[in-house]
Amino acid sequence: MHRYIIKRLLMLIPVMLGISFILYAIMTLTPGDPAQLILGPGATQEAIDQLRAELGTDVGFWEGYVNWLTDALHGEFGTSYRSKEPVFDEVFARFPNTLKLASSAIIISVIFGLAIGIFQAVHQYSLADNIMSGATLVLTSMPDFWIGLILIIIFAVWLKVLPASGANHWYNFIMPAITASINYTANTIRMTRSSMLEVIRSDYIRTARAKGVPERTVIYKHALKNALLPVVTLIGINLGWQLGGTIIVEQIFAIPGIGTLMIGAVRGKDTPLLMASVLFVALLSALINLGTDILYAYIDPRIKAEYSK
Amino acid sequence: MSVGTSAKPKYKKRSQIAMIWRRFIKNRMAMIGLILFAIMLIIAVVSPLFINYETDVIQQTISERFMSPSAEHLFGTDQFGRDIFSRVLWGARISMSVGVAVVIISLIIGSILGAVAGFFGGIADNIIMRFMDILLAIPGTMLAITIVAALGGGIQNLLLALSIEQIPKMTRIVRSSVLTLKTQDYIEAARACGTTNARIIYRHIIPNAIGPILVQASLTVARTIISVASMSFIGLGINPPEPEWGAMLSEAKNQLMNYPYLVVAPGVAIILTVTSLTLVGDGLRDALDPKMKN
Repeated sequence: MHRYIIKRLLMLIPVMLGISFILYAIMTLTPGDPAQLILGPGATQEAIDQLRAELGTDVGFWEGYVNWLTDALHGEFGTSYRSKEPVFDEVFARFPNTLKLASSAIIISVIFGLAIGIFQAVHQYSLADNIMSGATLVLTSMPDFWIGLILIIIFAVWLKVLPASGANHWYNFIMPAITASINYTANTIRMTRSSMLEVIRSDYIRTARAKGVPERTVIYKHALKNALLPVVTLIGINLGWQLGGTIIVEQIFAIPGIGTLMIGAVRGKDTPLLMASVLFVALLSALINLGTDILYAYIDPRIKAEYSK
Repeated sequence: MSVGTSAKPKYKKRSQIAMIWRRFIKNRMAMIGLILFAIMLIIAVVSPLFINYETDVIQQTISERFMSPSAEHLFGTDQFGRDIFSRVLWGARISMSVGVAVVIISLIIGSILGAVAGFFGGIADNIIMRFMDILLAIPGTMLAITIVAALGGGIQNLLLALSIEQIPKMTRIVRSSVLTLKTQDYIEAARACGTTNARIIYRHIIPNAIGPILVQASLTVARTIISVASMSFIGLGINPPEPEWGAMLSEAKNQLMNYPYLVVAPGVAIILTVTSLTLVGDGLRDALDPKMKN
């Protein structure tokens, strides 16, 4: 197991290098010059050249990337072209908002996903199950930004009980969290339901029932433990994905998070800031996925045995 | 025909695809999805016959702003006096064509990469799959947004960005199909009979690998339609005045206070299209699953 974890961690190195290279290529090989953008259209060539030298963008593509990489390997990820702040200061200033949004969305999706999924599996083919299956299907097909608009209309425009934008109070996050959670909740419901159904049909559940174990114990003690395994993976993937996926929700509700920072950085050709924010989220999401796999092995002895071979 | 051969028991020849299709049409939800999708597709194809792009879809008529739904304007008009019904129908053309184009591009490139990786293995497999891992490690829509924001809006850049996002998933699916099929006994048997590689690929590999790919394709169109709408919504996709559903919702966002009805039609159009494709994808997956045979 330890060897497996170390191997996975080592595999992250080429992946992060690859991401940094792709991002650097996208940022520097596309039209638009950061110095020109910062100084505006009226700037003299002299001023532009001077700023280029200051930013370090006056070198070729390969030299530029090697410079960035050398600095990054020394822990220097540079300063934002615009704000002149160290890039990770900016990333960490914005990250709490994204983390609040992503984690509350995941909590919502886990609570409702498990509760509704288990209910549906236990009452398979009942009217409630059919209605909920239909509703879940429609929910997975809804774009999250549309759900956000509908929530704004209901709670901010008509009922006037929740603010439509901002990130200063906890109640600012209610609508964004629901918006970001809808698709994930629907996926968790579907996964929990089908996984529960598969387990309920298995022999050991029939044995437990035949022995006269109360139905409640069969469902919650015997079935749920095994049915949760694939759901744990889904939750881990969702959380990792969510960190990079709240961009649209941040835009609708004007939440200053990583997504907003990232879009600003690409538009302003702020290469160091973009690279820091995307690499940070990618690394975090890779570590969350690894953590999920470890947790998975921990709760399923069969998989643990598989790794220690 | 001689007497000898007529004594042989007759096996009914049933192709894999015919069997899958038979299971698929028994699935009521899948058929509803397929019919719904066919209707949307027909609308997308024939809408130019009764909608004029210039006068109905993009022409602004200030005197007809914010009109409530009526016989003339089924869903009312927007802030520029354009008929929402015509715009939503025209939007189906954009979403469908982008969705289908992304699937075709990612399918072609993904199949080639996946087949090479799965068939040859070794270094080729390692290089291709590690590169796909890198693309997959960038979470959410960050990669597509970076590409479009860096290259600028417009349909070509959007197609490029969304295809790059989908190629790794296609590659993985094709590769794993090829890997499983490569070691199957009947492929081995065909080879032992002296069947040519081309015939093995045409008769055995393609019909058996097509299922998971079709499932992925239908779900890819669905996801792409949502991605296009999301990116247009934040101004990084198809730009106004084009009646792309996400772009329409982006314009409607500024009128939420007074004219909230503007968000209904484009949203419902997205949901209907995506739901129909999800039903088709789920139905195909069930039809392909040997466990669901009966």
